Amino acid sequence: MRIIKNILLFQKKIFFISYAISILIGIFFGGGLKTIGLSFICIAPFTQYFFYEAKHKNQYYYYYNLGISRLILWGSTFVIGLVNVLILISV
Amino acid sequence: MSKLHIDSVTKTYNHKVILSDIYMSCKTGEVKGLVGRNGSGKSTLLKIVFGSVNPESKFVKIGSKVIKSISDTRCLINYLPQDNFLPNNTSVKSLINLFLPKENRTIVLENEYIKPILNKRNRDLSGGEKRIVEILLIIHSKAKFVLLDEPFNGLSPIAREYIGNYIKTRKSSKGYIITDHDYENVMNLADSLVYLKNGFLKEINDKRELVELGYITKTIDGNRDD
Repeated sequence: MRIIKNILLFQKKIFFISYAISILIGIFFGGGLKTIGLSFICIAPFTQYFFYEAKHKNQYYYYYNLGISRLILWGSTFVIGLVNVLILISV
Repeated sequence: MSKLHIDSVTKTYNHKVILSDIYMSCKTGEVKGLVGRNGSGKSTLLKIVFGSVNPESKFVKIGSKVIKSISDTRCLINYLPQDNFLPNNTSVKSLINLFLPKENRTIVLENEYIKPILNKRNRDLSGGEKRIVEILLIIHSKAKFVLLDEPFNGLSPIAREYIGNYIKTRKSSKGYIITDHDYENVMNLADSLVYLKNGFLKEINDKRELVELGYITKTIDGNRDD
């Protein structure tokens, strides 16, 4: 449970920024929910990844000390993005 | 009693050998001091043991468990990096609850240094306060071995003394490897000392050896080396 809570802590930090980026990209490329959803999974995570690497790289150690690897952190981002795409496509 | 066994650690950067076939061990209840000049590879060695830096070769084992990656270190090894590593927008109280197992939270929540800053966000803390929070979280984690990379960095003399005594009184349950440029504090704390130079580790039996090795200019007793 503690591991899940900590993954959510990581997601909380990047979720709203990812949404903001996705909506901006979505609006730029036509404004559809599908476009927003696709950018949420295809573009936002990569933007976030490079932003996190540049600004908060040392915070990885917080998660490493809990046994949570980089792969798990960004894998969970991808899964959340996928769920968002499915929700937005089905709307 | 557990033993952290570190063997065959080799690391090169740009064709320069930083660590050459390093061997080191640490037992539960032991504090091992790791000293060396800037850039000698102390932090790199700790990161390799922890699993966050990949070496050319390494063999790290705790008991019968071989540590190959970060995921293997869970509940076995924790690492305190030199720079602040806690998420910024989270309160100290939340960090304690999120990071520590239930049974270890109360002692930190009631700590004299932590109590006044419990509701502050990590980003609003001073450098010294951040360091104390980080050290206490690492010390009270479930890990059997902790690697402290410059723990006294940014701490006031009184806080350094407090942390030193804190580790001494709690060392029976964990093994510690500590590196810091405040060598006097490391020497006072460590049961044994190793010196890293030119990629090799050397056991230090007498503090005067550090003078001969060019790490310090005089012994801590104040005797100048002639």
